[in-house]
Amino acid sequence: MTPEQIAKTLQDKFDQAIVEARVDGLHPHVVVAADRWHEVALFLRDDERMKFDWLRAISGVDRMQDGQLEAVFDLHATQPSAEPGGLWGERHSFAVKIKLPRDNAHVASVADVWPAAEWHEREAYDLLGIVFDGNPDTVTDHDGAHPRRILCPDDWVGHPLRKDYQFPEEYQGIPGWAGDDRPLDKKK
Amino acid sequence: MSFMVNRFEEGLMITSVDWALNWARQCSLWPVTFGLACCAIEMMATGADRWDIDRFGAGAYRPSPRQSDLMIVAGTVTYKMASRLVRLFNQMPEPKWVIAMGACTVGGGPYYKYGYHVVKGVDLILPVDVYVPGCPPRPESLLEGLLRLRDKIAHNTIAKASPSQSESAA
Amino acid sequence: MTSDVLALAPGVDHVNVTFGVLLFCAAGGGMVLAILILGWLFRPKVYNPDKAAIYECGEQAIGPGQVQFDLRFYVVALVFIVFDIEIALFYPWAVVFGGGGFEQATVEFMQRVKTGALYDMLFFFGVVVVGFLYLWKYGYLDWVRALGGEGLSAADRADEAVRGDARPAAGSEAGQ
Repeated sequence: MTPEQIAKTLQDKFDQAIVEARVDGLHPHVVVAADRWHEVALFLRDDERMKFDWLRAISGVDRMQDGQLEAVFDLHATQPSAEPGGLWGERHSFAVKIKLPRDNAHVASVADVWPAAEWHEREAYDLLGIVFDGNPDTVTDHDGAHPRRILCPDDWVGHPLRKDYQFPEEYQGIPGWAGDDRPLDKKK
Repeated sequence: MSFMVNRFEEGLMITSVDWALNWARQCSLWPVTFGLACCAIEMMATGADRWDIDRFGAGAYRPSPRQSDLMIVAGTVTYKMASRLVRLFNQMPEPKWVIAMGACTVGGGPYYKYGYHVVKGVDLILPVDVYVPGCPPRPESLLEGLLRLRDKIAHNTIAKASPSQSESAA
Repeated sequence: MTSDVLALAPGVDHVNVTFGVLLFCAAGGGMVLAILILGWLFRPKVYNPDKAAIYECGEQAIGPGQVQFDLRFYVVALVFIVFDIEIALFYPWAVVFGGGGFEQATVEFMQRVKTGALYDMLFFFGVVVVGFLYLWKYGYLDWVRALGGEGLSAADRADEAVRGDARPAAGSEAGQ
């Protein structure tokens, strides 16, 4: 199916949930509302025409000027889908973007739809602060229930790839770069 | 420390014992395998046949810190790795030495400014004996660092041995 | 033969030999003691609590250092001993069966020796084979055994054993 057909199928089925469809350009995608994402994901994986069974990556984007965080899901169908009259079906790819408010970025986890999502969601939380509710590897601490961090240590403060991130002055007693040109204090 | 150490002044017997101890220690520096990143590749090359580190007695890399007396920190040290590094250093028996290999361990390297997770120099957490700069240092540089360490050991004496080397911060 | 101790070459004195052996042992023990004492005198003694901790590649160790030994290794070792001794006892029998030590004997004598020896050995071998059949039938030779030994085939039992400890604990708390 071409990206236009995929976007049209999705809009016919979930008319309010699909906020926007951008199918021309190098990265055809639809923008889905955060509260309906899980059912759209199930449809994308299970529908006979789509069969997107491979979640390639979950990427997080920090759009600070819009005050939004964005989660981008790149999907690919590894089995040719049913194409009427065609000798071989195409293997098609598509993308889904979800825009979330920066200070309260919660969206449902799709780790039960695509198992690869588990670690990608942990990384998106760790580096950008997008909370995926229902991730199988969730811990609860003073920040609430969130996926366990995957790259930074568990007691790290902040989300490093945000554009307004403050570099830590020290961590567990080890000094760090203070963000300016002062020489580092090497006395323990 | 032990019985004979710090007990006598420098004299004929002590210098002979010093010579023997230092010769034994410097010619059999067994490193613990601590390659973390790209410098580890150069360390492996130093251990391979062209720049053979075993001709200096240092080719017996031990998998356990309890059997080694040298730690070549080869690669970027992150905050997450720092606690493990210190614990392994503490598990090494005295006498022990540390070579900081590569720009990342010397002073943070290319990650000095915007590496939010990089320790800016391993001497913030370990006492370092020899710094080998380079990104990564060539095997000849690492061998030069090893030879400088051997010279440093050759100046040790049991008449004025320093107390524990295991002062580590975190 | 007047001496009842071991015979030495002519001209060698017993006292010298004894003295030599004792000196050799003393020198060996003395070298070991010298190395240990010199080490104790000169090596640094620095105590650090991490040195007594369990080694787990730098992580905080979870659980004790000694784990329970798998009992199947014991069964394997026991079975091996029994059959190894059996094979060791085959060797002298095989030498005699092949005629070693009986070179001066006549052919008819050897025929009778061989027949008798064969039946003897068949009896011994039969006893050990019955033991082997018991092991085989009751599943002591299988590495993966089902409880009770009924129902599942070996492949299914292997799958169960692998799946039983493959899935890690989900949602675990972040460790220290």
